[in-house]
Amino acid sequence: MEINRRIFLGSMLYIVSASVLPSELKKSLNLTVFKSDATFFEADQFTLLYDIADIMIPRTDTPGSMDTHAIQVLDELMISWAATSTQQQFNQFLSEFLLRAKSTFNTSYFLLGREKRQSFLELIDERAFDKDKSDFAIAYKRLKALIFHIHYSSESANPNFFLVPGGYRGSLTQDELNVIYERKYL
Amino acid sequence: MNNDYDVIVVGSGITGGWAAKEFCERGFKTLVVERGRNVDHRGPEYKDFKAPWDLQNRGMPNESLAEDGHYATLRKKGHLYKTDALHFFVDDKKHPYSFPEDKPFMWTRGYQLGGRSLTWGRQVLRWSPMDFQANAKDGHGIEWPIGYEDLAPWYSYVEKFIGVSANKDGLKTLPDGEFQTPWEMSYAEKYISNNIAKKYTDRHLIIGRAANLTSPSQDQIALGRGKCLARSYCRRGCSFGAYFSSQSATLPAANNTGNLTVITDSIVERIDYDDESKKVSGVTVIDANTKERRQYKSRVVFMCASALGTVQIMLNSTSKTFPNGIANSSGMLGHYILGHVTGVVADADVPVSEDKFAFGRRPIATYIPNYRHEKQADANFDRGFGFQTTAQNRTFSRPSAKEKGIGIIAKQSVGQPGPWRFRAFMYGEVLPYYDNVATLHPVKKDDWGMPLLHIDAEIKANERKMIKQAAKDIHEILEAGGCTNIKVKATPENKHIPMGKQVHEMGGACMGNNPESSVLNGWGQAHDIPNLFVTDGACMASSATQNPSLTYMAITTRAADYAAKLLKNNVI
Repeated sequence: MEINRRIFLGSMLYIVSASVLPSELKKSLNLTVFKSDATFFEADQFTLLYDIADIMIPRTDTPGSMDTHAIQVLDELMISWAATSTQQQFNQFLSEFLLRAKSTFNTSYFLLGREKRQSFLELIDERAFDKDKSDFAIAYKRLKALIFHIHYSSESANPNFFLVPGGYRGSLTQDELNVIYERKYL
Repeated sequence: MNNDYDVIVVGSGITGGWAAKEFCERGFKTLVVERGRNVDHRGPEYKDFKAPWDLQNRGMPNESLAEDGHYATLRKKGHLYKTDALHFFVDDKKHPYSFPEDKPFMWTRGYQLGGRSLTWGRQVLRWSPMDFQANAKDGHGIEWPIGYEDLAPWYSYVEKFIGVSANKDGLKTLPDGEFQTPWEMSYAEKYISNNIAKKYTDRHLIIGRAANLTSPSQDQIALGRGKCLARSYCRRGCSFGAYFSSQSATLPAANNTGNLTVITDSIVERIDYDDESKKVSGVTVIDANTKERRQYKSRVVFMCASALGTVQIMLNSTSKTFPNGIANSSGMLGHYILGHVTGVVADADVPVSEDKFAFGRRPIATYIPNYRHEKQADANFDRGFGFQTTAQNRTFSRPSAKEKGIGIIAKQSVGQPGPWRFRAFMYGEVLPYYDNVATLHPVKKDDWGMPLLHIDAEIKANERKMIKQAAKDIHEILEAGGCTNIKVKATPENKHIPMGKQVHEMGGACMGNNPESSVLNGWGQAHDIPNLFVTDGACMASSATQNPSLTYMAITTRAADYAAKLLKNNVI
């Protein structure tokens, strides 16, 4: 899937455009490619982040990062929230990420199949929380924390959130709780 | 504008709102002076209808604030540093204060109409007779000039108006009051409470006493207040008026009389004193925006600017008679800065049935009241401590970006029901120490030319000993409560514990019987000046272990009633 994206937060709209990769390759890569720059991130960066987030929090029987538009929100936060140091940190991280992928696989990250991309990210994740104290690992952990925060603070990821619960009950069975969830109010 | 009033109330928070209501309802033209901006009840600054995904930057304050050194105190608190209510807290870069480098003090403030009444914890606990007797009994600090019996009717008066949801527990250490329907304990909390009751006669786990309406009275409804709907977003402001604040309750009541005038953006620089009449004549105010000075006159001044705010203004109010601060012939103004200390946090599993769940966000915790008023054989310290506790909801596995793991497996582990867990935070009494003192900085001033308040206060050996005992006690209590996997963290002796972290700063203009050793008498009236009253936290002679706001309110209403009688009889 390729998406020519315009600013997300205002419109919540996507415009699906023509492919930029051969359809066979597109199918085998399972990669969403963005053609135009986002608000903060450039198109390649956005494509990379979108893929990272999708690998981190894939769609299952519950929404994934794609469904919660985690990277679109992240892109906006880079302007509205991030300090210059964070902007630079993430830019450097993304560049380094692509360089490491190239060095490891001898080809562009964007031309790797989904399995290889996923195993590459899993390795980075494992090392970052293991012994790697590098700037790269620190940046990765910050990025992961942000993606998780954005996803898990989204409406789609919180189907049982009640802005106005209506009251408190401290001793309910699962069945009683389910009835309340259905009713959407105590 | 006519600048002459019967009463000037400095500050519009918990006590300022009460003073305004009491005087207005007794027919006195009352001016409330608030240094911060106006905040409308149910106005755009209330964020209580924002879901997590609707909050600015998903709740994260702009990073540049931290980079530029803003909100240093609030950032250390973590849980308050969010975009949902950041605007209700003071940025100490804009409003600096001072402390010794080795004794950082955490001063949490709210400069807006309503002050900290918008963001307070709403735990409203009466003091017991023993709490008022403590100073006299062990000799620390200044003996209280009033006792529980003096305040009891005023506690009732305040509770009826604000609305307190609580259970009548029948404890002599925590007297019962005028209560609405209590909040329910969770299944796990009941289990622990019942088990504790089997083992102890002096230790109890009770539901907290919340200034959140559960059964609103007709008077409360008439003020536009409604029942609490268990959102627990109280610090964002409550559009239902379900929790007590100046905006939801006292200021509207005062306003209904037609006797209230409120001015905001008006920083009280000094209380004006007339050397001839030996009375205060009003206040001098600096406009927060234009920096112009104005004077307002009145027959009485009530200081309700928060403990340290009041001390700062009083120290800055010098005159020929009072060169070291107004009403300070004793030299005690600024001394005995008090507070609470938390040095112990406990966490434990509650092994109860796994098919029980909770729903809603209860706006109050559970509580273990102080059981160490009497010095026990195992105690090598004076006074005592209680615990603020909770197991209100069952735990659910949460997404952790702080651990390794991504993809489907990591995602599937999120949101699974886990055990009930019980948490307890010690709240200990910091003894009254003469050398815990607030003074005016000799050189540094704020943008309005006010000398910065310099707060030199610390916890000492008694509190360190108390922490050790609290750690032992809570482990034992949780075992008795039937908990497992008990983890108790006590702050190490070599780690600094800042005063002010629990927000409950008190003292600095203490009540006492002796004008040579205290600033105020038992009515909160300055020994030196009959028409000057201090009824916020500054008047406290000790801190006990309970959250203090209810006692401030009771003291304020009692003092206002007294001052009103003096006014009517032209004594002042």
